[in-house]
Amino acid sequence: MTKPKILIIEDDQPTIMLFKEVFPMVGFKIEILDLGKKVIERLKEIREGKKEKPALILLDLILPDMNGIEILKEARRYPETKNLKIYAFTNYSSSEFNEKLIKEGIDKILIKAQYSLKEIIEIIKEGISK
Amino acid sequence: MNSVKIKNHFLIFAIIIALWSVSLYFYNKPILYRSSEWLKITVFLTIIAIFELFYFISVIFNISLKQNKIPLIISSIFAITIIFAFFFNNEILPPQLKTFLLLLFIYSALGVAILLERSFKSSAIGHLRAVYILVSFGVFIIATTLLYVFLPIISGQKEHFWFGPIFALLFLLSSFLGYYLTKEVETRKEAERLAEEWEKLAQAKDQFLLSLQHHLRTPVTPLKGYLEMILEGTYGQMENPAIKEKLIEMKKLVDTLYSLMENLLDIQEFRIKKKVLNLESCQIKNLIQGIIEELKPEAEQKGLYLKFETFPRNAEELPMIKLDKRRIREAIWNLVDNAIKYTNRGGVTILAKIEDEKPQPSDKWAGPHPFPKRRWLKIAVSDTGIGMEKKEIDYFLQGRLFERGEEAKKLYGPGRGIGLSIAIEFIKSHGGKIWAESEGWGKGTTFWIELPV
Repeated sequence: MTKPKILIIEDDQPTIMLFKEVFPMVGFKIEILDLGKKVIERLKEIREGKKEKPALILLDLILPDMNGIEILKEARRYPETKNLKIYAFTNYSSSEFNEKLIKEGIDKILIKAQYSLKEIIEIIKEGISK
Repeated sequence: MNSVKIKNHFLIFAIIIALWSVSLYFYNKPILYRSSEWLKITVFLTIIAIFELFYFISVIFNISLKQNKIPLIISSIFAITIIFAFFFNNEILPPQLKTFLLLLFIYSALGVAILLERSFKSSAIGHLRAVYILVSFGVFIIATTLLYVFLPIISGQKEHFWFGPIFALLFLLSSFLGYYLTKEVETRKEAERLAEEWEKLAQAKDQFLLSLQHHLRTPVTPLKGYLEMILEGTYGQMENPAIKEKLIEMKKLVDTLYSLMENLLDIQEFRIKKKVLNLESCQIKNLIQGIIEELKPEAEQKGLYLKFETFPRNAEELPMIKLDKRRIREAIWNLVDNAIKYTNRGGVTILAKIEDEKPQPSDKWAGPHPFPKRRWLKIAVSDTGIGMEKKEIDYFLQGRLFERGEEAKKLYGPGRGIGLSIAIEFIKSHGGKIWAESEGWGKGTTFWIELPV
């Protein structure tokens, strides 16, 4: 069985280091993108069939160059990426922001700091298997 | 136009009017139709015209609604045109011109009427109506002055000269009224400006808190993650049990730090009504038992008892309640934790019961009760500790937060002192009540929580 690939959009270095260490241990293949424009580029490549579709995208909402909602909108705009499973995975939460995310079709909103590593892994596993 | 300028305009205007009224009275003792007298009158009339202009401009500038400016400006211009019309007519005025002037006056009055009509539709009705009265009064005074004073001066008829000083006095009064009105507008504008600034600051604060929340949370994930992995032996077995013990302690502290941070941010968000409760069905008995389990070691360490009672005794009868589990737990936890902290002998008792709201007097309602009776869950946390003075309870009931009791400060030194704030805010956000009872210092305290079922 091939390892499920998770695309992680994250810009905080210590968090990236942790994920790079932990996720391969539990059997996920991961790729980390730290800038919004890289994600937009990646979405384009997925549309053109140059890159494979990830099983799940973990999307940080506050990135140095843009916010996650724009990325979410971009993904939902095209039929090829419309059905990608995208979880907001962030530490930034406000009810207005959450409403916008839900409106744009986010699959789940996770507050990083609220979960232990184990719980995060469980949630991801469950998300992939669905 | 700033306040000092407006104030000066009105002051100078008032002085000129007073001078005018006095001079007009004395000048008209003999009938004047000589060139030197004409010059003097012309100078005075010019000055009056200029200050009337100032007067209207001041009023116009102090009207906050733009659409009201046009009728006002038009009526002002016509009022002043009437004055100038007399300057260029040193012949005795024919009756047709009088009619024409009267029509002009009616037209300017119409402008004011439009202003009145609009003022009823605007939010600042009181103010605009006052401006209307002021302006129409001004126009009335100008027109009557022209017809009964200036016209006789020109035509040489003196029987209505006494109108001069009276009208001048009335105009003086209206100028004072105008001064107070514009002063009121200034106060209003200042208040509006402050409200706007406050709004901006509040928004900036909200934004700051949200970004603070993000930044404070960010390091928690790797911190918790690495500690978790170390403790699980991901990086190899720990030989020294002391290190493991300390790491477990650190993990607990990270969790405490995180929950403290979350609670503080929650309080802020509840206060600005941005936060929504995460309601779920919950058995309050289990929730309280969980808290007791967690805090029992702390109580036992101090040699205190920690009891849970339900009323009636059979705890199974407590119904399931919809509430935000985490926050209610936090609220009760803080009350119990405080009770343990401020008690040195005896212990802490938690009591939970369901109470029906007192029914309406039966004579008021014939037939079935129109509203379902509300039920309340009441939880009491009583201790045998230091107790609270009445003024401290009042202080607490007024919601003066982040302050610890005087005795608590003396006896227990510095502490976080926010437990109570957390409890108050979380209970309030559920539509519940929280209050304290104590017979005074040394006699223990009971905190009551009341939640709608």
